[in-house]
Amino acid sequence: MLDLYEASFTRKIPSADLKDLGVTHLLYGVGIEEDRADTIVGELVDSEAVQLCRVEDLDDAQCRVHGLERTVNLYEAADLQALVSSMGGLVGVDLTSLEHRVWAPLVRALVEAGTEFVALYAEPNDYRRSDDLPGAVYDLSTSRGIEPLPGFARLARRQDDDGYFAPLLGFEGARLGHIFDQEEVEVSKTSPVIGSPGFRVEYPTYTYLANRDSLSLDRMEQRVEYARASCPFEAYRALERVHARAGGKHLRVAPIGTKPHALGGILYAIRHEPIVELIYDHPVRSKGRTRGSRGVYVYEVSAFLKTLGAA
Amino acid sequence: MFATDRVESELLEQVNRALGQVRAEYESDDELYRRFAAPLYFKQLLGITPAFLVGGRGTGKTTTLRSMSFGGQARISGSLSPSAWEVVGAYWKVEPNVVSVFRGKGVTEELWAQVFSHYLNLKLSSLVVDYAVWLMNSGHEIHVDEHRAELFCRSLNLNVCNDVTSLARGIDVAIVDVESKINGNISGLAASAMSVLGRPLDYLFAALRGLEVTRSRPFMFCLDEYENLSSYQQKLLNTLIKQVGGAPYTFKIGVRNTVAIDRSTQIEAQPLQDPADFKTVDIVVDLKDESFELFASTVLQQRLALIAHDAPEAAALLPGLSVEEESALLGAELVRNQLIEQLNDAGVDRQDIEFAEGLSHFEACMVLRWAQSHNESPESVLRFARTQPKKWSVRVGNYGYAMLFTIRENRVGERKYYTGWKTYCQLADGNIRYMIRLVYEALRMHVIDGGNLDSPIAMLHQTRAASRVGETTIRDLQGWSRQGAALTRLSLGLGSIFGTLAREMAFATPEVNQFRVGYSGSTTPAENVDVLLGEAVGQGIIIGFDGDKNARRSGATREMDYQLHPVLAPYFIYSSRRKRRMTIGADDIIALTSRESAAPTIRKVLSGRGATPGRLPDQLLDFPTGS
Repeated sequence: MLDLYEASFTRKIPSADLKDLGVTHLLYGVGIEEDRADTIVGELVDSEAVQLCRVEDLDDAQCRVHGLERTVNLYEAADLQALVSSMGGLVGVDLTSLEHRVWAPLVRALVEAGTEFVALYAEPNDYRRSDDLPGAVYDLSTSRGIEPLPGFARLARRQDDDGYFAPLLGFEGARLGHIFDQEEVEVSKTSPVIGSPGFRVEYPTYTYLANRDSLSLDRMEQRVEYARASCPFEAYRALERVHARAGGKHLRVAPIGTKPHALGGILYAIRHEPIVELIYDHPVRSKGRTRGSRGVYVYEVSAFLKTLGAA
Repeated sequence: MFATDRVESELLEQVNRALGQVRAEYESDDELYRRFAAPLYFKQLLGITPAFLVGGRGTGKTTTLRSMSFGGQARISGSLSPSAWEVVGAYWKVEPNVVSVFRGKGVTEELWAQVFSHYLNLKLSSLVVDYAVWLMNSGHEIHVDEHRAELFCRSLNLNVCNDVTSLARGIDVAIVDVESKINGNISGLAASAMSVLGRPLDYLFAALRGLEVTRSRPFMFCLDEYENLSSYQQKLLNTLIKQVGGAPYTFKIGVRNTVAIDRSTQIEAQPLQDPADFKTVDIVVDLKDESFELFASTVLQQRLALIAHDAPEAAALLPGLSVEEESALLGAELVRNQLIEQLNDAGVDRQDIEFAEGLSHFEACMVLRWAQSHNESPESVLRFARTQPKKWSVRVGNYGYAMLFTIRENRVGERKYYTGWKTYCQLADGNIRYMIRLVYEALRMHVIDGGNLDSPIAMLHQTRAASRVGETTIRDLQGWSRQGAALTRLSLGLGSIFGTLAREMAFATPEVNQFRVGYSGSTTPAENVDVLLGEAVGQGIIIGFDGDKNARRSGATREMDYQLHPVLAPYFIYSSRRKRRMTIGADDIIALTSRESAAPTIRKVLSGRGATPGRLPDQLLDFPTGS
């Protein structure tokens, strides 16, 4: 549900306007081979005011942050804090070009340090291949499988765990089915979040179609929450509603939909530890799965978090 | 809404509630235990000998293991006293989101093995302490032996304490300690104090008095989804299993197929041995044939009773068809009339015409279809039937069922019916989840069409329900396993092959629906095929037999014969009966799993048997939309 009175922390801007945001450090990656992956860094590459920080995976734990010339272990809070402390001004995190497993711990470190930052996201113009749309066989074997994002592992006893679950849905129904199959989540206590309005008018329908078998279980379709596909903060608010209905009990959140929604899910998990747990399956994206870019979204994350007050 | 509509809608809602939820994982404890029917193999799980409960998806492992937990036993028995229970245990589902934590991250496997051993000690101890807390909350007295409790705490590097609540708290803190290191101080793991695998459990059982467990009636750790453990983690658990016997606890472990059981332990050259170290309970072998019918009948009766206390038995709702009746529904009369017309046109003897007119419609179909498939004249086939009645009768017996698939040609309507309780049991083939889904779908269609529990379910609804369950099974498959995409293509490929053979080759090789993997001329290593088919067996979409004895196994070896699970047969329209076998090359089996090669491989396999496929499933067609 859209709250008309809430200030909007999501803005869509022409990519040429990125230079005017006042970003001093841009964290971006090179691992995603899609047209739009270069959109954001491409606009800022000539800007002298911006320190470009290319994050390169060295292995599944360590990253090299070029520009700052630092090596960071994603499982070492001290490394991440030192990285964040070394960046002054306004930090930009390019969600488009970084994988969840890299940007999620970076976002966490930025939140914990109280650093002012924005997340940036270049919207895809379209999906290129038929196998990225519903109806095609989705291949889970190309993913790393279900494994916690760095810094988000949960081994401790879950208090008040009745199996409440909020998946942020995307086009790949098999990913949701796999989580139902593997994790202790209850269908009857599942409230999915669907990105609607979508980036394109037909995308919410695609999402419904792709997940129709799961949605038909135990009237799950009647518990769907909607949040604009491009807005992490609407996703955050949708999770708040789901969590309130769950009586504030242990809630698993699966950020398997759009990246903006994933950001909302991860922010929600950071703000509600340890009662909120993330489940993620690390898909490996096919090369060139999207084409073009239709504009850039700016998410004023630290400003949004300030409105929430202390966690 | 009209009153009758409301009644139907209420009945539909009741049907949804009683039968719509078929997975134990999806059920709340209340629903699960209210509906629990102890399977006949349950007794085999009792006692201190560790057991692997082997069964593919949907065979009821989770239900059984959850029922063995202390919460489950209390609900099922209606007693808070463990002495009234059949077993005392705790359930733990091995979730990937937890066990995948202990890998990679730049940490050596050797260190992970130490960390995971410590975690296993803590996790298993927490299950025992949870049980102790539950007992105390239920009015039982638990006495803690101070000395043993101290040994327990020291063995886990916990602060020493001697009451159950503090023990529980200490374990929680120790787990959080491991968690926080993995999350934000991974380099600190190496310096962390760990524990020796299994030792703390021995101390714990000695420390807690009043658990009402003994070596003859041990505490059972019921672990589900063993295959989610990585190889080194399985090895550690196996080591614990190997050590069972000294203390009053044991393990009962759910696993999808025997291929997934890694028998090695930490002690080299001392793998787990069956039956010295454990026993295997294979659910489907145990529940075959009549015992499955009985079990399925009990489970369904319980569920139908939720709709109406005087609900009829499921068998009564599902009448079947004889082949003669089925041929009539498929349009045998039309084919018979074609035969008479052709005989008249050919000017055959009146005697032959009269003989033809005297045949049942089913046999008349047999005459015409046989003639068409063998390029013989109808009159010559008819004469054979008339002059050699015994041989004709044998032919009808051998090919009659297969002929049913050929009666309806180029006409709208069902091409085969799948009806009757016995057929449904055959389609489910020991898989209780499939059985409930079949009955649910049929009953749902029946109610939507205005039916109720007093009237039997129409043949058409039974058939369409069976087809729909096959279709949804294929569709769901992608998300069932990491290999879901490969298994989806394999099922679609094999189904297309057997469906085409049923339609086109009914009289050459009737009811071909099994295969053996051929290695001659193939370059694919047997191991790759075994892993693929083992996974398919575990996921409940393929069944395997001993090639010679036709006895069922849950694992995969090279001498095995395979069949796509019968529940898929109605979707592809071929015989669900266990019949004839063909050989498919190992290379072709693997090729069926890939997006690029599946469709050409289907065509190749079929053309090798003189058949051509009809329209292939959309999911197998490669149709890039972009440039």
